[in-house]
Amino acid sequence: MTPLEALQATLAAEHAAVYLTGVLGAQASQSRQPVLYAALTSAYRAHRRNRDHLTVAITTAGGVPVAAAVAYELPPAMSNASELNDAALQLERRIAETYGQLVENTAGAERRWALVALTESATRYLEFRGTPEMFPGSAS
Amino acid sequence: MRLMSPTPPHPDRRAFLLLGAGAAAALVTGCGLNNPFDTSTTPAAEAVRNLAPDVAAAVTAVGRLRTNQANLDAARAAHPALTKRLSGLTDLYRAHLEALVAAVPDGVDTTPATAPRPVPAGRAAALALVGKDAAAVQVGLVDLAVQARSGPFARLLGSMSAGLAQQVVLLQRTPVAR
Repeated sequence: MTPLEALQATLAAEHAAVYLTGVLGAQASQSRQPVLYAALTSAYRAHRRNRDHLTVAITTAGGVPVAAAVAYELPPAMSNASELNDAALQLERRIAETYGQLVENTAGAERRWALVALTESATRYLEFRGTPEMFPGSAS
Repeated sequence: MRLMSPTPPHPDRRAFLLLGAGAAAALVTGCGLNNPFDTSTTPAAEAVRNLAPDVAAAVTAVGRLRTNQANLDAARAAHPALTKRLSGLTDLYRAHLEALVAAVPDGVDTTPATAPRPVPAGRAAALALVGKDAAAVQVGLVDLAVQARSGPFARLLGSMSAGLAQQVVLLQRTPVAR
């Protein structure tokens, strides 16, 4: 996988993450689930920021940033806090793995940025009731 | 439609590490050194300095993790009440050392060069120091990952760094009684 291909794959994943965290955030109640709502809002902002960074990085590298899909497959259940946490946690695990892939296939400043994004995603696990892992972002 | 594209298969990290270790071991058989970045000019020191870059990074990481592990063990011994609180980090250091140790050539001694640091009398201070150690190694692993020549090795170091970051967050979450 070339660095550009890895950046494109990560951007595709972030498009999906922005979409999904937006949907999950819309399902959470700001008044009844303030902690979850805040975590989802924070995750949404982080994924949007990462999406924008990746778009610029790909353009700078001479590529055409991959577009977002029209829609994405939604989690099967999003009716309560537990299900919303599970969906967000699963999302972050996939994103962390995608950033692991980006770390593996880039170098220099791009790799350093990917390492920071990987770490941020891994620490977000904990916001969604995830348990710590020995090697978050490693290939499954 | 899938949420994200599946990750393609990756080379096994142990296979990579064993390959690096095998190459490096040929260089340093019989050497017993604590620090691969020692500036002395003995043939043994130069041999370790000339290790494949990623093997030298692995040696550095193992040395730092073992130092932290020794300081953590000392904190647990001085404050048994912290044992449960530190169990996640204890397991993490062990798992990370197991993942890296195959890349360390046989002749290289990675035991901590100094005795464990004195443990603060207060539990909160002791815990804070363990967390500070973990945070420092976490940042160091990022730097080693950026420098790594091998992509899979960089990913391994990055995932170790991310795992440590989780532990640091957990250590900071709930204050302990002084």
